Amino acid sequence: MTDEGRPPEDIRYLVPAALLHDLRTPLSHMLGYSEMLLDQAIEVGNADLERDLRKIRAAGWKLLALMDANFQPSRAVLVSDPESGAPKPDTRS
Amino acid sequence: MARILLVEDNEMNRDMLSRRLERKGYHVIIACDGEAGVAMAEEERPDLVLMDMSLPILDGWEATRRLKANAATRHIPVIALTAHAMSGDRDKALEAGCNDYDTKPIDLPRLLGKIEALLGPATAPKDSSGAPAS
Repeated sequence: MTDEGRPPEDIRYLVPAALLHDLRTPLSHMLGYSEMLLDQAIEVGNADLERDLRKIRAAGWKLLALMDANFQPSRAVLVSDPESGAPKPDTRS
Repeated sequence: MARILLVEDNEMNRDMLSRRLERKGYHVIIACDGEAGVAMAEEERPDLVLMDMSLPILDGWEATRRLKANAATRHIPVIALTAHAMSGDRDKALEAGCNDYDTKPIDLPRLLGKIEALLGPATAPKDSSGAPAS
């Protein structure tokens, strides 16, 4: 990872689609439940809880944006070249 | 009250999305796989179907094709839901007969807008404040 939290250029676009799907599913749960609780906190006027839930929701959407900005779904799998150590895509289906 | 059939195999997604839609005034019925979704759509004739695409037994694409091939259910609008965010997924869903497409995580106001667009504003429920659900 670079200092900005972005992966080095050579592993972009090589994250398998299945992995992205698996990462998005629990993130969906966290975002969905936090937003549902946020609605409830607003309804009952609990400002402290509302403030904290907004932080959780914002962090979740930020994580999603980072995933989408840094990884392009691909069927390719990153493996290391045993000779050079350089990453290369694995063409296994 | 508009009735929405949610076809979703993931228990947490089912629980979370059905509760959020019910809070917005929709009546939600649930099926846990594509085959059950097709059967329930034929039996219950919901106003709209929210169809997860990655389903067991019968996937969402094939379930949608069957709904659209059946004269009794082809008029029911189907919104595809998927955690995949690839550009080709949208085209694939529309080719299967879905009327619209959305991605997970769910952006509820956006999804409600799509639901309302397909159902028509007259059928949109009011939430607890009396405001339109979206």
